[in-house]
Formats: sequence, structure tokens, C-alpha cells
Amino acid sequence: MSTLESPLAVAESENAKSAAGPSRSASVAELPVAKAVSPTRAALRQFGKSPSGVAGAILLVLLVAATIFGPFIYHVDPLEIVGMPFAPPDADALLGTDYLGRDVLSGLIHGGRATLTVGAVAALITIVIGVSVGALAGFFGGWMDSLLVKITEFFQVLPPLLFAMVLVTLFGAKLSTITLAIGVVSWPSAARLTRAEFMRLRDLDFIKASRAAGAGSWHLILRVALPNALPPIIVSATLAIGVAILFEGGLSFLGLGDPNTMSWGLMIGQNRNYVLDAWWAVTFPGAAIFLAVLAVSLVGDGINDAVNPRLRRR
Amino acid sequence: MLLSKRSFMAGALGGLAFAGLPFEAWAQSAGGGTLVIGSTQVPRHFNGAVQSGIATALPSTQIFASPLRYDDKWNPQPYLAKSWEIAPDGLSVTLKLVDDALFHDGKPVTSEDVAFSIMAIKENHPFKTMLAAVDKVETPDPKTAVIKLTHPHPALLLAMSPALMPIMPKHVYGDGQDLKTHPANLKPIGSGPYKLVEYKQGDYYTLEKFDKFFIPGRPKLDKIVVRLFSDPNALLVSTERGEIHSAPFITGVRDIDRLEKSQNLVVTDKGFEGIGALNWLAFNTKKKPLDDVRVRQAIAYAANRDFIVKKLMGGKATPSTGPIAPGSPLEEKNVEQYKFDLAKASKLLDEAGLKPNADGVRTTLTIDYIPGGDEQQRNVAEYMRSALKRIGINLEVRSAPDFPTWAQRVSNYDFDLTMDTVYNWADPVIGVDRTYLSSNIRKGIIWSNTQQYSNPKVDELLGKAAVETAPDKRKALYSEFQKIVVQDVPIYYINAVPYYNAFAKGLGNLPTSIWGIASPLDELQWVTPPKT
Repeated sequence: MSTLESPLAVAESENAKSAAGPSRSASVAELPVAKAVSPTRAALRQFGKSPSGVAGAILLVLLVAATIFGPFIYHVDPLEIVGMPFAPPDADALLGTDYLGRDVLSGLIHGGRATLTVGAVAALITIVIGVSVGALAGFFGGWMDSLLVKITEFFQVLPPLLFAMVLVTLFGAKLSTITLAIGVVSWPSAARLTRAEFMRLRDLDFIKASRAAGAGSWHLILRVALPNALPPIIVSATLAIGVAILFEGGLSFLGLGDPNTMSWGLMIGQNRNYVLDAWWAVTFPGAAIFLAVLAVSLVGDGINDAVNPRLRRR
Repeated sequence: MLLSKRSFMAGALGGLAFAGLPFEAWAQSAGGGTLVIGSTQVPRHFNGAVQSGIATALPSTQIFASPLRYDDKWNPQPYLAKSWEIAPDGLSVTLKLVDDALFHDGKPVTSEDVAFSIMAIKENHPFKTMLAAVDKVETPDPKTAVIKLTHPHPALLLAMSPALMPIMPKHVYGDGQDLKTHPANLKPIGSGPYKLVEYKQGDYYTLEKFDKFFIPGRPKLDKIVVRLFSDPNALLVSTERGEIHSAPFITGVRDIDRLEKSQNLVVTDKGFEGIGALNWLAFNTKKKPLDDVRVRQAIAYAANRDFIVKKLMGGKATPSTGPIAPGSPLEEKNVEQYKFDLAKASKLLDEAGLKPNADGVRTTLTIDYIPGGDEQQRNVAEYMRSALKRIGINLEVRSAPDFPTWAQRVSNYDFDLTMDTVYNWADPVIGVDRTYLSSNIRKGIIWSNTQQYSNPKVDELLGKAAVETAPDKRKALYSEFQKIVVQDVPIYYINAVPYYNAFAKGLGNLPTSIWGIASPLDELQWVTPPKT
């Protein structure tokens, strides 16, 4: 949430400069609640009112905590063969072992680190590429817009999973390549969203005022327009994490996972042939992916509600 | 009552199968009926003279006859040749052909066809060593062929097997077109028990009984349909349901288990001795630190063959300890076994100068595997990572997206360790020598000596054994070869690939010869035809 604070605060101050700003933050300023507290606070308070959003946040915190602190409590190497293959859950291996005799619980803990990291980093890549392209296209318009839109469309018409498979095949099944590939194939929607926001914003009076006050293009994009375009971008970034986690699972399922790093997707992909012999080796990582994607989706919805001024009036 | 019901069933089946033929055609045949085989192996064409591999061998051995065939104890049996005689100097082999053999187009099989086929196979077949010793084939009369050799070549007898030496009609294949792309490879004409009547590419092909087959009363079946499956699971389900009467080449432990549980199937691993498929871990013997034999031996001691075969492969695979497949009369069992011994492995690494660093890591290596075969390849590669960690070797598993990628890496020596599956093809000269001869270190060619293993003593032994005609002396030479190779560990031998074949219970005379289903199925018959 701390990332939210500074840009919105900046937006607030910029809005104060501008004479009249019928943008989202401006309408926030008109609300009685928002006058007393900062918009971030207001958004947080609003988020707290959404039960599903709070549930998602709690779930996400629990999952992240388990993958961060789990290895310090449960000392089993996820890649080490610790017992007989297909041992059912019992005292030795709480969640059983997989087709090689590796511990499923340890796989869940370590695999969660990898999977959640892939999700977060891939979403970050998605947003960085998408916002850069979208902001430039939407703000400058003209030839720059048509060129960047063409590029975006080029990426958009490629089936994302197939494109990611090609990238992973070309550059090797490593976790870094997989993360990069997911980011590279998922940015077009973020770009389109950002472009639409910037096109809407660029002709508004407060931007014009800033420009008249002598602000350069970069200053306008980064300090004035971007903070006002952020709320929908943050929502889409949250959802992108969930999509990236599913993507990693899909690639691993197709046999393109990194065999040297345990991840939830890899566990499912490698054990799926043995689902009748060892349901536990597939079911638990499957449930973990389900919970993680559910958590980020709920959080995403919660943020959406919190930053959407139309909902806030209710 | 039972009898009449049975013959009615056979008649009904035959009638279904031969909708276009007159009543008498199927009524005469004893047994009859249709056999449906299911396979995931899609043949490129049907001519085993220019194509190795089981996908082609299965139909090719039904369509083409060969000079000899084999029983289940490695003994040659007469087939197109009613007798064969090896000259005392070992430099010529005389074949007497059966009198009444005809090709599917009605023309007789003559020594001219045999001569043409042998020379064409020598020219075109991927196994170059198989007939390299053949100088020419003389044809003193239409039913006698004399194979002249430049040096004694005991492997020739096995090279005359159905899977390796299909006799082609010269008047069809000898028209000057390139044999590898000859149109008749897809519309084959041979003298075997069945003729090809239909091929729907990638879907199915149909073989029909050849009425004028030269062995009286055979084949027993009227028709063989081979259905091709792209999804192994669909094949399994169809087999369980009884839609498929024979599923050859099943290798998955869980698949075998599943079929064994079925009441209507007989599951056997007989019939794959000739192919002799070995699953092993190969080393790049020219790359540091694997160029040191002690490092390779240490890795062999750190791997637990027992665990791999019994646990990872569910006890369905046969352990193998040397370069010649279990079941071959030439296999030497008395070789170094590399019994699981971590202390010995660590000691060997210390001696080789690979000391552990602060983190206990001695060195980092990579392991490749053939994509697609999880149980035989990927799982063992992942097991090795865990096994070698215990002796301080960091093993990184490199996956390949497809077979060509893997083959490219291995044949260009861009690997440290790799899993591999290589076939013996019955005689060492055909399928074993290629992996060890220093003269066969050929960059870019997969299944050559990609280990870059070179030992003058091994070259010498293999050279001598290839021309030794006295069976016991030959066996002694191969024994010594096997002991040396196992000691040098260019390869750590793990197991024979568990090929299994499932047959419907109502079938009789199952193909249990060393070539199994890659040999003529002229005796296979329905004892109890399936209910439809």
C-alpha cells in the first residue's frame, strides 16, 4: 500500500495547483471524508469495508508468510529424495511424497516462493512495459501513438500461451526466462488501459495548466498524468499477478517448467500422470494455486472498489 | 453346440472383414477373423529395407518375407531360404530358396530378387555395419543365392531376420528410382503372409491375408488392422475395452499395471530380446572432469540401480549391467556391478582431485534426457540430481523441448551427462559396436559414439569379434569387451527398457520369438474370437 501513498499525494498537490480538475482524484477531493484524510487513507478505509477484499488480503498474507518463514521451520530439501515414491501422507511426510519420493509439503513451501515470485515479478514486468508503452502512446498521440498501437496489436494477436512457449523453448526452461516470457506476452492489455487513461487525461485542464506553468513532457507524464491514471493500473496489476501464476502453472503443465526449481506448476505438471496413484502430489499444489489466485483476485476487486469514486459515494 | 456357435462367430467376423469378397474366400480358412493392433508408432512408410525402427518393422515384416526367421531361443529357422550353408572359410553363405514363394503381384521370388535386395539394403539401410562385409551376391540358378563376403561376418545370420532383410521384388523396386523415396514404399509388394490393402496416413492401415503365401495353411488370420493413436491414454482405454486386441510396445509402469489387472488381456514382456533396448546414463568422456575415469566410476557408485529399477520403475524393468542386453546369448553378467557405495564414490572423487568447497560442492555438471519418456528418462535424470548431491556434485537437469534439440546437443558433444536409450538390434555388430568404436566418433550423428569413448583394446576386440566365426571364441571376445567397457564407464548401464505387449485372451500362438511382433504373425490366430 505504501506504493500508493506518494503518487496519490503528488496527484493531490498537482490538483491543488490546477484550477478545476474533474478527474477522479479531483472528485475525491470534493467528498467530505476525503477532505479530512489523505486519499490513500480513504482508499484503505474503503478497502476495509469490503469483506471479500479483506479476506483475500489475509489469505495472501498467510500464503506469503508461509513461503517466507516455512523453510526456517520445515527443513526438508524439496528436490531431495527422502522416501519411497508415492508414499501417502503420514507422520514421515505430512503431505506424502511424489513420483520420485520427494516431500510434497516441502515442495509446497519452496514451490510457493518460486510461484509467488514469478507471479509478482512477471506482473511487474507486465505493468512496466504496458504502462510505458501506453503512457507514451496516449500522451503524445500522432505517429508515436500509431506506431506503438501497431506494436501492441502485433503482440496482442499472438496467442499468449503459445508465444510464451516459443520464448521458453528458445531461451531455455529457466525460472528467469519463464518469468520474462510471461511478462513479455501479457503487457498489451495494460498498455491499452494506460493509453485510454492518458488520452482522457491529456486534454484536461489541470494538465493544460501544468503545461502552461512550464512543465516538460516527462514531468507531465510521470508527475502529473501518471498518478491520476494509477488506480485502474493498480487493479490490473493485482489481477496480472493471478494471471502470471496461472501462466506459470500452464507452462509447467506442458512440460516447460524449470526442472531445477520446485514450483507449484511444476509439481502438478510432473505428477499429473500419476494422479490415480498419488492424488496428494497433484491436489495440494493445485489447491495452493487456487488459493493464491483467489487471494489476489479478491484483493484486486477490493482495491477496485476502494479507488472507484462512483462506488465510494454509496 | 459350442462348436457351431464358434464357427458362426468366425464366419460373421470374416464376413464383416471381407465385405467385398465371395463367401468361399473366408469360409475355407481355418480360424480367420480380424486382429486389431493399436500403436502410437506411426510408420513413415512400410519398407524396412531403408528404414529402421519398430514403427516400420511391424508392418514391413508382415508384408515382406526374409531369408531367415528366429525362434524364442535365438535359433535361425528357415523362411524364404529352406536351407543355408556357411563355407568353411566363412567367406560365402549359400541360400537355397523355397520353390513356390510368390510376390503379392503373382511373380515368383527368385535369387535375383534376393541379390537385388541384399545389395539395396547394404546401400540404403541406416545400419551401415550390418552388411558392410557383403561384396556381392551370385545367382547360379533362380533358387540359389551365394552371398560373397570380403571377410567372415557372423552377424549376417541375424541380419537376415525379417525386421532387417525384407526381400523386395526387383521388378518393382529395381526400376532405378531412389529406394529411400520409392513410391512403392507406401504401396509395398512383398512375399510375406499379409499384403497392404489400405493406408490412411496417421490413422490406420489394413493388412489382408495373402492367399498364395508359400507356407501352406498360413496365415491364420484373415486381416490385421493397425490403428494409430496419437494419445497413449486413448490406446490404453481402447485396449481395456477390447476394441484393440494387441497393444505392443507399452513401456509405462502404471500402464502395464493397469493392463495386467484387466481380465481380458494377457500381458507379456517376451518378444523384445532381438531389439534389446537399453536405457542408460552416458558420459561425455572428453569433457573435464568426466575425462577422469575415477569421476565416472564415482558417479556409477553413487547411483542406486536397485532403487531406480525397483522403485522408480515399479519393478517392471530388468536391470542391465553391461553393453549387451539381458537375454542375449552374448551377455556377460560377470562384470563390475557398481553396487551402491557412497563412501567409495567420495573416495574416488577425492583421489581425482575434486575436493569439496566450503558448501560441500565438488563440481557442477548438467544432465540431459530424451523428452517424452518420463519414467525411463526424465525421472531417472531427476533421481540422479538427488543421488549425486550426496557426493557433492551439483547436477543441473536440462530439459529439451523436443527430440531434435536433445539430439543436436548430444551429437555435438554439448553435454556432460545424458540419459539415452539405444537398441542392440540382436547382433553386437549391428547395434552395439557403433556406441564404442573410436572410428564411429562422428560429430552431428546421434547414436554414434557420442561419448567420444576411445580405447584401442576395445577397438581391437570388437574388430576381432566381428569376423570370428567360432561361436565360443566370439563369445569370449565379447566377454572381454564387456568387462573393459564396464570398467571404463563411458556409460553407466541402468536397465533394459520394459517393453510389454498386451494381447486379448482369445488369441493363440502369441509371437514370443526374439523379434516378437516385428516378425511375421502368420501363426497368430483366434482360439476364442471376441464377442462383438
